[in-house]
Amino acid sequence: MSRTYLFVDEDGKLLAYLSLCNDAIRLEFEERDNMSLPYATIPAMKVARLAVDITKRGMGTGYYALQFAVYVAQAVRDYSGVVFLTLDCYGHRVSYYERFVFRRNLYQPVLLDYDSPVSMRLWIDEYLAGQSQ
Amino acid sequence: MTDYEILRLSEENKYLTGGFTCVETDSMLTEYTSKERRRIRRHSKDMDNFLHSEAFD
Repeated sequence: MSRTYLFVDEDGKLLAYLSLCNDAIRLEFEERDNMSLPYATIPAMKVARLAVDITKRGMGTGYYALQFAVYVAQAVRDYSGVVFLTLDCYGHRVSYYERFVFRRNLYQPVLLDYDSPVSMRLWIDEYLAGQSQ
Repeated sequence: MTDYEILRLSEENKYLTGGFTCVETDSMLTEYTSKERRRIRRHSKDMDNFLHSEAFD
């Protein structure tokens, strides 16, 4: 279902892992209008899993893994359309991903629990434009 | 800045996942309520389990 990548340091220690799969997200009309996207459902690549070893937090490994995800999405775009990088995360991680310019999707899956994950997206074009400035 | 190597998970490098854990200790979660700590740890254990048993499927 997904492809998993290991981030290993020079001593052979596993610092983090990242799993990627394909996705599509539904946008509300106002979001589509703001981005000039004519379709209700937009192709994306999903960060299905991202975890950093507890002994290696705060070293930028998660940020590096997300940059790698953007790199993979760019590579896929040579062959198939990908507009967003998406992920689902719990509330305590939302601010972390917002620092990477992920935004909450207006359309959220039906939530049954108070602590259901938050659906977020990163617009790849916007992110890359920000990086080049 | 740590130097990284990025490897696609495979039979050859699966041994690298053995010592990995992302389950937080008590001292890492002091800002959260006990209910929130339980939820966070449950999710982190699920992340560990995925790597150790599902990711390679």
